[in-house]
Amino acid sequence: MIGILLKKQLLELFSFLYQDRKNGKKRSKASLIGWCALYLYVAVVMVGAFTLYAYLLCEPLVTVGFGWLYMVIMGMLAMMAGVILGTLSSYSGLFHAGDNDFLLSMPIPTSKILTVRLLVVYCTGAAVEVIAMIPAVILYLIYGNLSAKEILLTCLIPIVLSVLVLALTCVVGFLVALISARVKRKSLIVVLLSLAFLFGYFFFYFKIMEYLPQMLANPDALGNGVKTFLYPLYCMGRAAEGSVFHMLLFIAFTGILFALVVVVLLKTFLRLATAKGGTVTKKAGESAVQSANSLSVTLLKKEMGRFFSCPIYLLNCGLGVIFTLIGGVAVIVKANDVRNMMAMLPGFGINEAEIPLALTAMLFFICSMNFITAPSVSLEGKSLWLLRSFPIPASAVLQAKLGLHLLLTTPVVIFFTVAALAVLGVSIGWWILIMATILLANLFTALWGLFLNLLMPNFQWKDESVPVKQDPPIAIAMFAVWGLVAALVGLYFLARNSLSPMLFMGAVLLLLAVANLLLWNWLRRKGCARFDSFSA
Amino acid sequence: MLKIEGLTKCYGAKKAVDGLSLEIAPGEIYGFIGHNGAGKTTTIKAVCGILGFEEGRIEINGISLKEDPIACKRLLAYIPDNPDLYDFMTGTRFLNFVADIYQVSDAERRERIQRYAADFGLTEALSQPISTYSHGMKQKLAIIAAWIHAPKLVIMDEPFVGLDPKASFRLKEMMRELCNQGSAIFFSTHVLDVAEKLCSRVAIIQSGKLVRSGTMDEVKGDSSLENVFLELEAEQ
Repeated sequence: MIGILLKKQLLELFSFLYQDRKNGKKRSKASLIGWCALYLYVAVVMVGAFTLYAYLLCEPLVTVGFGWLYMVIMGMLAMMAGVILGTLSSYSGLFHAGDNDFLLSMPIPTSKILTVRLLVVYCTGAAVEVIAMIPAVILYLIYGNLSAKEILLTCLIPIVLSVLVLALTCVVGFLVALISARVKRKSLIVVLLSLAFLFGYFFFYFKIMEYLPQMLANPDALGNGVKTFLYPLYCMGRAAEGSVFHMLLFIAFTGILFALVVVVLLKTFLRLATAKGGTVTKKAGESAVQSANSLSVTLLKKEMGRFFSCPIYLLNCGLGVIFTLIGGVAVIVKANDVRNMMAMLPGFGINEAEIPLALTAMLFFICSMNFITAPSVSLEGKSLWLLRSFPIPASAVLQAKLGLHLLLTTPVVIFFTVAALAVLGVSIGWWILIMATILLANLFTALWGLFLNLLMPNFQWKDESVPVKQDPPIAIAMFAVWGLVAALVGLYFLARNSLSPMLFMGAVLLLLAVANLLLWNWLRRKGCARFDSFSA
Repeated sequence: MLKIEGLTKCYGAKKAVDGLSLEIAPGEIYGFIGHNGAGKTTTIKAVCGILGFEEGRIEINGISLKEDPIACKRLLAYIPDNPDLYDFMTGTRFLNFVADIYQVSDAERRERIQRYAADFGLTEALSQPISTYSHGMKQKLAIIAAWIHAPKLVIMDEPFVGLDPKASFRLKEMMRELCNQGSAIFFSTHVLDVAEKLCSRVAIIQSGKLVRSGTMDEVKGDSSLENVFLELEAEQ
């Protein structure tokens, strides 16, 4: 029975390799090679990153007799990576697997379903953790000058750690599933957690190099902290120094935690696996009637409702709005640093008169991070029939999609631009030119994204991540704008001896105005006709 | 109310609907019957303006669908067999969304939402996200959304699938009430008993072609609709 379930689970896990999730068809060889290459690339990048950290830490810590601390730090990093990626697998593969109802309706003991799912979650987390630990272990073997016992125990650590990763992954996945079963609107929580993760990741990434020398200069303090607060990991570290006793303690702790997790899962799996998120609860209060709105407001509210209720859409296409806002605040708070940075530009061949151009290029690049319109047509998905059967002109539908993009991005783009211009203290002429150019650039990204999605719609998706992350329009939209910015910068450098910066900016403004006019015209005629031809 | 003349719709080389013609007068409940893949849904979607068509003419209340689709859509309401609604909206928000599109006044939408929601036992669920609804609940919500603007023509694709007996009974009552007010209903169904009891006229489609149409008595005669249908299938 377990063999049958495991085979099914592995087929499902690796189905993305042989089946295109967009249309269910068999993948071409080229597509398969592409996916394998992508995963290999990710693995290589991961190994590279962990090798770098291991290299920076290993010799300095081993030399001063803190080899155990080195193994603890690398173990923690590997564990974090394994738990984060494993949690995605545990939530979707353990608690919210699509075939839970189906399997539970068959004569299969729940424990066997759970065992197989746990095996797959284990493999996912372990794969990540082991990839992260391999460079750490290899470098420790090189620099540690280890005895046979120490080598053996060190090589055992990734295996025991993988079980700890599984236990922690299940705990985190369990908490997520518990919250999900109780919370009606998951989207806000998902967005907040994702933002917290992103900020945590960036903070760690930028700060680790700053803290590394401090850690190396003061290993005693760090070591005492680990011994006091993370004793099981301290045992793991000491095991790497050849302590069999500490290895047994580490195994015991891991085993006890894992056993507890299994017991809790066995008791709660059935309830969590069959819970529907946001279960209907009695709620007094929402009035049956909301005041009548015009068509344009109605459609705009619908677009906003979809945007704010879909975490993937919000995070992938709207994160730029948040970053633009933060950027504007950062420019004001760090005004002196910004001025100092701009003052350094002449050292890179950019003279003072060209600084407004550099600023405009940067702001245009920031606009390209917002592509709210790019998946907006595809996101109608199987509910396209609603818009197609209602007495709504296609122009109204497309205007609402544009309206959402501009409503969300224009205020923050204006704020950032005003902040940057105020800090740099440019002339009034530049103020007008740059503001006009950036507003047109923002409009361009909105029109361009919608244009591409009308050309390449996809209504046959089951998961919003397909139109938002995988379909061509969003990638083409973003890279094309980056390419445009780069091309304009390159063009300026070619023409800088013949054109003044202001004249060049005027030309860019004209170019954007013409591009926007052409796109608007196309959307008004062919775009609407195209939308009307989509069959639901 | 609805006039279809020579409707032809092709998917590549295959004719899904081939020269179909029928007329529905105000006050009629018109049943549309056929085997799986006969062309019922294609015909229905073409009438609703969702699918284009190669040949033919469709008029709703004398207005050509090709020339003025918006005016035609203002008169009709469509309920598909598997209504995919906006999962991110609550039932209330969705109904108000539809009411806004059709410019239904506050007083009218209040009265109709309360009445139909009570009829279908959906009042409490209206404040919940549609993502939490069962298939039957979505079907009921789609029906309320269709009726909220008192359409002149209701087009339904297998509307009784997923409805509980009480809801089915209420839907039939609503269909009769609407037709008594001068509207018309055009719906496809596989439940021939229901079609026999409910419809004033019926059409049978086979492989894209209309093979029998007329009043219920003209089509079934002394036999049952089921026997007539099966005989026609056997002939083919």
